[in-house]
Amino acid sequence: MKGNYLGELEELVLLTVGILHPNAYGVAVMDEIQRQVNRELNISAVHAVLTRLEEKGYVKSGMGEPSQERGGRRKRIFTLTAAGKRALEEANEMRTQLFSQIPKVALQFRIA
Amino acid sequence: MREQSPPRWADRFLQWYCKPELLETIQGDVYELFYREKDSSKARRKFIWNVLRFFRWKNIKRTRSSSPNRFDMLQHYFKLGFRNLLNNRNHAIINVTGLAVAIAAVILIALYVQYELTYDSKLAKVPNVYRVVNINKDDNTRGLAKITGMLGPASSEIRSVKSFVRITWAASPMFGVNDIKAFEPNGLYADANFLEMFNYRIVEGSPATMFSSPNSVVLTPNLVKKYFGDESALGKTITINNHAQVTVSGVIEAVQPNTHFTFTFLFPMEADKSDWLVWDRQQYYTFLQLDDNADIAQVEKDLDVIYAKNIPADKLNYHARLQPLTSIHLHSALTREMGGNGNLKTVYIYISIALLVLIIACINYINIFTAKAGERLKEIGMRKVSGAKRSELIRQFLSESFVLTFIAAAAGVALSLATLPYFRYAIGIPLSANNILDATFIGLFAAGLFVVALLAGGYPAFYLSAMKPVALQRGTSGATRNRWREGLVLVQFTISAFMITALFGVSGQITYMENKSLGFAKDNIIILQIRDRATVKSRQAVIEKLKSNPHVTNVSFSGTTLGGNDWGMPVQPEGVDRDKMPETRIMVVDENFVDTYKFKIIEGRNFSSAFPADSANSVLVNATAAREFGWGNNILGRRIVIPAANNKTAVVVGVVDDFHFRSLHSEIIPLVMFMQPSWDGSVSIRLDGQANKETIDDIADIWQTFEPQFPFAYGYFDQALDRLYQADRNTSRLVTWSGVLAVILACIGLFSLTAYQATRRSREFGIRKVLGASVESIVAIQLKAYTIVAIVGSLTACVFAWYIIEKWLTGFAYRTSIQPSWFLLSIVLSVFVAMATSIYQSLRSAMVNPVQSIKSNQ
Repeated sequence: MKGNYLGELEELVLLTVGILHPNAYGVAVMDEIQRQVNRELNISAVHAVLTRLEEKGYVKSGMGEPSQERGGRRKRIFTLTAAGKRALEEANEMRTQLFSQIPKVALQFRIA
Repeated sequence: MREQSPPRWADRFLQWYCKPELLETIQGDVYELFYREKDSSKARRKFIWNVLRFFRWKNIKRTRSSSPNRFDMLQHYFKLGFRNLLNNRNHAIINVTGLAVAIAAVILIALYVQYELTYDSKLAKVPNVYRVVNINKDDNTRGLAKITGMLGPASSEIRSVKSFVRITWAASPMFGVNDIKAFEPNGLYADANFLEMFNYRIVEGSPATMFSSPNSVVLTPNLVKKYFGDESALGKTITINNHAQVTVSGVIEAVQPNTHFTFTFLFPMEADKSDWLVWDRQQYYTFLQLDDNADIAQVEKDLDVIYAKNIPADKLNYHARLQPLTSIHLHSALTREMGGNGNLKTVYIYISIALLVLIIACINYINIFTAKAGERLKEIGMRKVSGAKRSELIRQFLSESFVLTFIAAAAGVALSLATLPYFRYAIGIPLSANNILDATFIGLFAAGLFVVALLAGGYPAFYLSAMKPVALQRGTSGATRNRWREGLVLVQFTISAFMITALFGVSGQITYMENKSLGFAKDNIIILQIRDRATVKSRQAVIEKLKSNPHVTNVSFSGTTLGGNDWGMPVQPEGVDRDKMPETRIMVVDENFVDTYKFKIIEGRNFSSAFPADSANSVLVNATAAREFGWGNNILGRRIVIPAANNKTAVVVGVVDDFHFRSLHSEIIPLVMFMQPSWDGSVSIRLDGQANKETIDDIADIWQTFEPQFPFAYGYFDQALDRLYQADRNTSRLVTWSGVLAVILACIGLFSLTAYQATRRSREFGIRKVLGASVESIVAIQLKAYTIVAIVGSLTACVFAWYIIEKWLTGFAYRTSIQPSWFLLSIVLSVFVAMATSIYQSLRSAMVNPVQSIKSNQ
C-alpha cells in the first residue's frame, strides 16, 4: 500500500467525488472536472485514480442502478469516506497554512 | 443513435482482457461515452481509444486459470525441486556435472567447427571472387593451385571478368633495419589492386599509393613490431638482402585470424624480378572478380580457350577451374596450396564426436531425472488427489528440469572458458572465446538446451501426470519403462564402445606412421637454407669445413629437403609415351645426399665425385620410377631428358629403394634425382648421436664464414617432418579425450541406473534372501543384465567402428591394417567397465538385511 500522500490529480478527483455526492461515478467525475477546471482527462485515467483512492481508503464504492444509456449496465458510485474527508481537510489546511506564511511583500505586484 | 453499436472487436478485446470484477463498470463507462457522442464515426474512434487506454496492468486479468495462487505454486515447485535436489545430492551432482562437462566439450568443438567453417569468410572485399586453378585432365582430383602469371592479364578479354589479382611468394628475403637482421619467409608479391579485392584493415598509409612504387613494402603489425617496436613504420627504410632499399608504404592487418592468406609483408608485383612470368611456369595464385550474373562454366571454358591459344597442345594437360574463395580452405587440396588447408573430413569427425558426447550426456540426464521422478510417484499421486491439475504437474516437472539444465549450461560455459587455453594448445588453432557471442551460436545453444530440458522433464511431466492417482499410489509404474531405460543405456554403451574402438584405430594408425620405415633415417639431421648464391660455388669448401667437426658425419647440398618440398617438372624418360607418362617429381641433390639420409641403392651406383660427368648428366631414379617407366630389367643406362635443366639428356646410373619423400598420406610416385648445383637451396647436415650445443655453435661459426652478412638459422629435419602429421595427432588427441569422456559419462549413466534398479528391486531381493538365495546369486542376477547390455552395445559399436575406421584410413596411402584386437579389447573393456560400475550397487543391495528391505515401504 502506498503512503497517504495525496497527489494533485487525486485531490482534484477526491474533491469532485465530494461535489457530486451521491452521484459520483467515472463519467460524471470526468465531466465535472472538465466543466469546473477545464481539464481534459481520459476516462481510463479517472478510473485509475478512483481505484487508487479506493485502495488508500479515501473513497468507497458500491454498485448503483442499471441505466439505459449504459446498455443496461450498473454504475459504480463512489462516496467519500471519513478518511477521505480528513485527507481533504488536511490538504486544504496545509495549503492555507503555507499560503498564510508568505510575506505580504512577496504578493504585492505592481503592474508596470 | 441507439441503433449504432460500438466496434465489436474492441468490445470483445475489452471483455477478453478486463478483470471480471471491473468489467461492468468500465464497459458501462465506455458505452455511456459512446452513446452520447453525436458523430458516429468519432464515437467509434473514441470507443476504440478508450478501450485501448483501459488496457493497463491493473485492469488486466492475471490468470486465465481459476487458480489464484499460481505464483505461490511456482515458488512451491522451486522449493520442492530444490529440496529434491538436496535429498538426492549425489545424483544431482552427477547429473549436472555430466551434462556440464558434455556441454563444455560441445562448446569447444563448436568453436573449432565455427572457426573452420568461417574460414576466409571476410577475406573478400567484393562479391564473386574466385581462384583459378589448374586441374589435371586425366585425374580431376589433382591439380595445381598456382597457375601461370600470364592468365590474369589475359583474362580481361573475358566479358564477365571484372578484375584480377595475382600473388606469388617472395622467396624469403632478408630484412635489415639497423642491427636487426632476419629472414622473412612469408612475404608475397601482389598486384597493385590487392586491397581493392581483399579486405584488410589499413593501419597506416593510403591504400591508393601503397603499391605505387616498386621500391616499397607493405607490412603487417607483427613485422612492424619486430623491426620498429612501437614506432610508426610508415616511410621508414628496410634493407633487403643487404643491398636493395625499400620504403614502408603502408601497414595492413588481417580482419580475421582464420584466413589462408598468411603473408607477413607484400611487395608490389613490379618488384618481382624473376623470369617466372611466362606461360609455362605455374607460379601465381590468381584471383578473379566476376560479374554478379557470370556463368562459371562459361568463364572456365573461356579461360581454357586462352590456354589453348598460348600453350602448345602437348603441354596443356590441365583445365582451368574456378574455386569460390571461401571454399578453398575446406574443399581444395591441390598441390602447392598457399597454406595448410583444412579438411572437411576432420570437421565432420569433430562434429560427430561432439554429437555423440552430447547424446551420451543427455541420455544420462534423462535417465537420472526420470528415474528420480519415478521415485516420486506417490508425491504425484498425492498431488492429483488433492486437486492438482495435469497442467500444473507438467509445469512442475518442466520447471525443475529447466532449472537443472540451466545450472548445467552455466557450469558448462564456465568450464569451456576455463579449458579453452588448453584446447587451443591441443589443436593448435588460435580460437577466441568471443565467437561464443555469435548470434547463431547462442541461438543453436539455447535451442539445444531447450530440447534437452524438454526431453528430460518431458517423461515425468507428460507421462506420469496422465496416470491414474490410484495406480500412482500403488507405486506401480509398469515394467515396460525399464526396457526403455535399458535401451538408452545400451545406446550409451554402444557410443562409448564405438569411441574406444575408434581411439584404438586412430592411435594404431598414428603409431604405425611413427614406426613405419620411411626409407631413410630422419633423426640427427639439421637443415640450413642457402641465402647467398656464392655459397653454392664454394660447395666443396663448405662441406670440408663442416666435416672437420667430429660430430658431423655427412653434409649434402640439395635443392629442397624431403617432406613434400619436391618439385614438379616435366621429364621425358626414354621409351615412355608422353600420354602415358605417370606423374613424376624431381629432386636436385648431390653425391652425398643418399648417404646423408641413408637411402638404399638397390641397383647401380650412387653419384660419385669419381665420375665428374655425374654432376652434368647422370640421374638416380626411385624404384617406383624404375617400375612405372616400364623399363623392365634394363634400367641402368636409360636416358631421361629434362627440358627445364637446359634440355639436358641424363643417363640413369642407379636405382634408389623407395622412400617416403612426402607424407604418408600420399603414395610414393616416381622420383628422378639429379645434380644441378645452381639450383641448390638447402644443406642437410647429419650429426652423430653425441652432437650437442657446442656442435651447433661450431657449425654456426663455420657457416658464418661463408655467409657473414646473413644471420644463422637452422631447423631439425625430424621436427619439420613431424609437422606433416600435426592434424592427425590433433585428431588422435581429440578422439582420445572424448573417448575417455564418453566412457566416464556412460559409467555415470550405468551407475545411476543400477542404483535405481537396486532400490526398486530391494524388496524382491529381500524375499529372495528369505527364501534362501545367496548374496552371490543376487549379485549375479543384477550383473547379468548389465553385462548383456555392455556386450550387445559393444558388438553393435564394433560394426559401426569398423566401417568408420575403414573410411578414415582411406585418407592414408600407407595405413595399418585393422586389427581384431582393437575390437576384442573394446568389448572386454566395456564389459569390465559395466561390471565394475554396477558391482558396488549390486553388492550393497544384496547384503542388506532382508528385514530392512521387506519392512520398508518403498
